[in-house]
Amino acid sequence: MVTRKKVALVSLLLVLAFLLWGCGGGGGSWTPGNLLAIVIGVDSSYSTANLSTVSLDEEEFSISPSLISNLCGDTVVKTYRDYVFIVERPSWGTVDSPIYVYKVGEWDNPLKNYTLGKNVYDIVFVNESVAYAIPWGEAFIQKIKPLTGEEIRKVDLSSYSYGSDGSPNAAKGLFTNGRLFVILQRYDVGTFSYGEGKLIVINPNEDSIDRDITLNSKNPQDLDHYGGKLYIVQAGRLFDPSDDAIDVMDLRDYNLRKLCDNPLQEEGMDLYALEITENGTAYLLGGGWPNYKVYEFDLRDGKIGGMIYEGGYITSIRYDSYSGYLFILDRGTGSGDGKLVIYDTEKKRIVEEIGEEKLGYPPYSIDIAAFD
Amino acid sequence: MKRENLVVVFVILLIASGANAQVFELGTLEVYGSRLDLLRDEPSSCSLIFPSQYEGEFKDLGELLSKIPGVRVTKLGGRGSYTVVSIRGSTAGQVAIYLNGILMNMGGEGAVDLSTIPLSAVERIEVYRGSVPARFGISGIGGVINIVTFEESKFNVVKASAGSFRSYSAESINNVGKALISLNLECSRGDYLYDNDNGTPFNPSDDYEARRQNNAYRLNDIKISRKVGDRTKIFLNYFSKHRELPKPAPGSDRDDFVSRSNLSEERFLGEITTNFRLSNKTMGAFSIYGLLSEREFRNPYGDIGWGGQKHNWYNSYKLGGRASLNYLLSEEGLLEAYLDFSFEKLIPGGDIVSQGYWSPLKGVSEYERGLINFSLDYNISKGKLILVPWVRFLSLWESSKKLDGVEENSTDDSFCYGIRSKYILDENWAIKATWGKAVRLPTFYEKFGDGAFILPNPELKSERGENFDFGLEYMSKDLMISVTYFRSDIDDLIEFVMANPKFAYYKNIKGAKVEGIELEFSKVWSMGWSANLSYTYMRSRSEILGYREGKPLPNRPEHSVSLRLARSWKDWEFFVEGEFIGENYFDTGGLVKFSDWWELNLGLSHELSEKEKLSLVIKNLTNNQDLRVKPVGYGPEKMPDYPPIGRAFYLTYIKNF
Repeated sequence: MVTRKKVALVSLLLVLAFLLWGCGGGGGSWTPGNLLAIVIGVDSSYSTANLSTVSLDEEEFSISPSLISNLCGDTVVKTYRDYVFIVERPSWGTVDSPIYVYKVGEWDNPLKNYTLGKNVYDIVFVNESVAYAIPWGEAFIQKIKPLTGEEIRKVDLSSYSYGSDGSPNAAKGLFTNGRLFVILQRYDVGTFSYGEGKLIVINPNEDSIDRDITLNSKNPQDLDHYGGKLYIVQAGRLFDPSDDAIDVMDLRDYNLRKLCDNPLQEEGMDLYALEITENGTAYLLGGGWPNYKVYEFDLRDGKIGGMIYEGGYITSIRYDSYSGYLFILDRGTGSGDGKLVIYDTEKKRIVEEIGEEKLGYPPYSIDIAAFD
Repeated sequence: MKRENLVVVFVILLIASGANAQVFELGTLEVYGSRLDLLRDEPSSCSLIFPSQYEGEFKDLGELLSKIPGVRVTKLGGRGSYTVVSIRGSTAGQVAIYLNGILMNMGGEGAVDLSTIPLSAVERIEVYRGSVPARFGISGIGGVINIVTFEESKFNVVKASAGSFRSYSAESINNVGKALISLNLECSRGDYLYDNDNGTPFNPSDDYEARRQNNAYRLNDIKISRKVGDRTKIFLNYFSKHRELPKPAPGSDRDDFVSRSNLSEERFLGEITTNFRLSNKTMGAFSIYGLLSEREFRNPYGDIGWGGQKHNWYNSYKLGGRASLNYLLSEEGLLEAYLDFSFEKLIPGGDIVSQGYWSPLKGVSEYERGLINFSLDYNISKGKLILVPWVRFLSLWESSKKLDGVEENSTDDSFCYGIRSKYILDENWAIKATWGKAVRLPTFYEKFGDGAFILPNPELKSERGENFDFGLEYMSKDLMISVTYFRSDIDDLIEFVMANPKFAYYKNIKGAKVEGIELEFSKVWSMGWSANLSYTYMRSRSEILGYREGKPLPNRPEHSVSLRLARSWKDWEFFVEGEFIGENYFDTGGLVKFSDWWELNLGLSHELSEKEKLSLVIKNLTNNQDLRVKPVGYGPEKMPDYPPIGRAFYLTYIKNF
């Protein structure tokens, strides 16, 4: 017999299940109406940069080149929904980084123009009102209101500093599982040496460092996550492929282990980036001189799969979960062969190559604006 | 041309200018008389500058060169800052700079910093564009600038100047026995005011008025010239300079953020030249020279340049010799042959080497280069036609040695040829045309890397150029007009390319084309008026595939104008001059431009007595500091990294003894 108590219990269970499903990771509940690749190109002399867009809505990939020009020669781009954040790193990264905030489609004037710490490498968004700026040249991370540049708080990293510049060289961040994860390169330019690579876990509620984890190799370059695990790519000393490695950490208990040594060591390549798709396919960027290559990579055993692309100097790869495209930014060899390569991870083939002449400059940085 | 004239040319070719020092001359300036006979018959596009005509105007070498058509001077900041020159769209490294015939371009740095060559005791500056005479060898795709000093002076001279931003200068030229000794001391704080946008051009609320920090310099320069007998002369030069290095301005120049970086240089130069005459038909000269250069770079906060280096030094020395032979073949033929040989060594030290110890590139402890250069000009004079076919041959070996003792070697031979011609229509009109090939050798760093961040590329080839020009010239006693069309094709341009986030290398890429028109006008009127105008229209196009194809080259302005009006009457002299630069691209993709730039200078001088003169000069009269870097479409309009100096006043006193 169904009693009131049983009905109440089942109802409670249903509500709990609904809440848990709604709170789960992945954000799969929202589908953007528009997808736009925002591409920063930098000219061959590294004296100036521009911003172009590539529409991803259909496979036409229509390009709007040089919507903005006269940016600094070392500039990267980050997006949040339909906001575009242009991050300049002028004067060899020794002065504060100017930031321009634009709204997609309104390229005549930025919404805001402010500065952050020296040599900002990354901005990690928690939401529209909170982000973390990661300046490579400072001994702190800045929690900010990204649309205004107002600093909320600094997270002190000075205890991790290394080398003559007094900075731990924070390079990249990732927000997942309610925590901010930041890799520290800890580089001493005087001796070309790196201290122990570190992964910092920050609690965003108090902006305190929950823990720091020593990596198995040095000079972490990139991190990504999948299936409750965090993967960290480390390059070690550049031009020395013997000390590169990839670590994997369980996000439940922060247990870190080495997934593999450098799978591209025989190719003579250092490891630079890792991108993981929604279904766990991974792509690894390796670089030697004069060629860089992108390979499929097996997260389970750290083995290399097929090579999907070979080019000149590839500055980055970027996966977009909404479109399923992997973007490869190939600056080429300086002979006019730079291009933006769009690889369809579902069809497993290159669907477009956009030459540097169509973008205005060879590509350097990319992010995807996803909005209604 | 008569045989006698050919002999005159012959003699002038051999003997360095014996023109006396001209301190100042009031009255009518004779335009025609200010050019040497040599250059009247010189088929190359050549201009002469006599610094004495600008006495008391506190001008430096770069400012004088900017009055020449086809010449573009780039300064990173104000007086005393790093200054380089480009000719007809060349790079700075493609312009050969000579001081009394000694090549100042060194293997470590292709370009010559003009701020290291003060004008003290300089008699004239020869600027050759396109094909150049044999005595300059296989140098200068862009052209040659030859700075010639006085050998003797009618007067002993003392000059003293004081001006804005705590600028001071003192100079003396003295006859001591048979020697001419010049001494020059100069300094400036360079701490001018300008508006700083803090690196946020869209946010005027954080703009501030900045004072240019760490921008001072001081230099001293001693030149000694002495004739020994009739045929031998000795030239000695000691130069030293201490230069503070300001940071790129946006967001810098704050009281709490001053860079202490600086560059110190010392240079010793010595040359002995002997002329000889074997017969009435055969003359020659022989010289040996030595050049020692020490440069020290300090960057205590590691905030200037790439790689965080804090202390480097670069010691170079060059030993060489030249032999020339001129032979009158016939009434119509003169053969000029030059043989130039040199050995150069560069020894770097400091962080660039210690970093190299740790770098995967293994560090470089020294560079060496040996060079033999043979040039042959055959001057043919047949009636009104002058033809000078020429050949140049260069043989080079060079090496670098790493810290672990491993050597890398490279050899190269280059052969160039061309022709210069002139057709004299009548006593005033002439037509000129030249065509030729030239090369630019890679610098040590381009070929062998720096052992720390720049990878070696021993297969790197020399840049190669082909020049052509065609012009019409009118010269009379008080008027000179010349119009010249020029064109340069340059191949195998050497380009800096990043290999990964930390390392780079140089490689050969396709080239570029530059063409344009130079107009030069000089006129002297009665009543003491004179006018000088130079205008260059230049069109440059990259041939490099990709985004640059067909785009203009950066810092090659389409329009360059220099205009000067002067009036002298009784004991007074007045001038006004202006400069305009227009359509000048900043980037390699045709997306960013400099704003059009103009500057106006004013000067007034008065002869206090027969031997004394006082001059007041106002530079940048309108205080124009509005040089911007602008996007072609949307984007920030930025202040330049090295903002121009505003209005400046300089007072100079000159006395002859």
